[in-house]
Amino acid sequence: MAHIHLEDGAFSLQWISIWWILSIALVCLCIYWMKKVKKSNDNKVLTIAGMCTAASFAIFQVNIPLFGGVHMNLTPLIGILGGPAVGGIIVFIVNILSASIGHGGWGMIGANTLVNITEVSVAYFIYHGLAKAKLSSFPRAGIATLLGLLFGNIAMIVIILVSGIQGVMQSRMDIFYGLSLLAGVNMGVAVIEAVLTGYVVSYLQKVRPDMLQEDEFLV
Amino acid sequence: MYEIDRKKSMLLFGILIIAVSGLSLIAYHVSGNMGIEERFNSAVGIKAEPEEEGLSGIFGFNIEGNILYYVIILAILIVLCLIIYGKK
Repeated sequence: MAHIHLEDGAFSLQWISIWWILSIALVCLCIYWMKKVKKSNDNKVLTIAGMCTAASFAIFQVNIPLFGGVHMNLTPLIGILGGPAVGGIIVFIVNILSASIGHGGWGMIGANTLVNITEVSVAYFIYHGLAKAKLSSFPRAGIATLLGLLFGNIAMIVIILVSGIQGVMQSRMDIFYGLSLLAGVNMGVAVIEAVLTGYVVSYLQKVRPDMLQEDEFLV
Repeated sequence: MYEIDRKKSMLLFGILIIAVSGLSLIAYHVSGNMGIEERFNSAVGIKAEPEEEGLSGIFGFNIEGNILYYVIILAILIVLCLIIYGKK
C-alpha cells in the first residue's frame, strides 16, 4: 500500500543502487531461507505464493477513487498467508511486474521492495504475536494490517528522507511534513485494507484453516 | 481458541479504526484533494507537470500503466496459478 510513487530521477543513482542492492540481498536471503532452512518447496506454498502474486498485482494497478486516488496491494495479507520469506519474494516480483507495465519507475523497485517487505514482515509478526492475546482472527488480521501499513509508511518516509530528492529546494523538514500528511491519507486506505484483510483471514479460518498455519511460524 | 475474546477484540479493532480514520481525514483536509502522483510530488516539492488525460475508468476506478500489458501479465499469472494448483 505504501509505495514510493516518484518517477525515475527523483533519487540519485547512488541511492537507487543502494536500495536495489539491499532489496536483492533481502530477496536472496528469503530464497535461501525457503530452500535451505525451511526446505518448503511443496506445492501448497507455491500455490499460495502464486495466488498472492496474481491478486496483489491485479489489485495494485487499480486506482481507487478515494481521497483523490489511492492504491492497495494486499501486502499484509501476503505476509499473514505466506510469511515474510515468501512475501519478500512476492512483493519483489509484483514491483517488477508493475514497473514493466509503466506503474512506478524501474529505479524505485529496490526502495519499494524494502517498503513492502516491511509491511509483509510487520503484519506477519503482529498477526502471530497477537495469537497469545487470544484475539479472534478478524481483529487480529485487521490490527496486523493497520500496523504493517503504518510501518510501511514509516519506512517509505525514512527512505525518501535518507535518499533526498534531486532538484528540489524544500528542506528535509518540509519534505517530512509533506510525507507525514501523505502517510496520514494512506492510512485512511489502510482502514479499508484492514477490514478487507480481516474478512479474508476470518473466512479462510472457517473454510481452509490449514492455509493460515496458526500453530507454526513460517518465517 | 482464538474466538475467546471476540467482543473485546472487536472493540479494540473498532477503536483503532475510528482513531486512524479520524487522523486520516484530518490529513486529507490539510493536504487537499489530489491524485496520488500529484500528492507525492507536492509532498516532496517536485513541480507538478500537467496531468495526462487518462481514461475515466468505471465509476472512477481505472488501471495504472498500460492496460494491454496489465491484461496479458494477469492472464499469464492466472494460468501459472492454475498449472501449479493442478499439480496437487
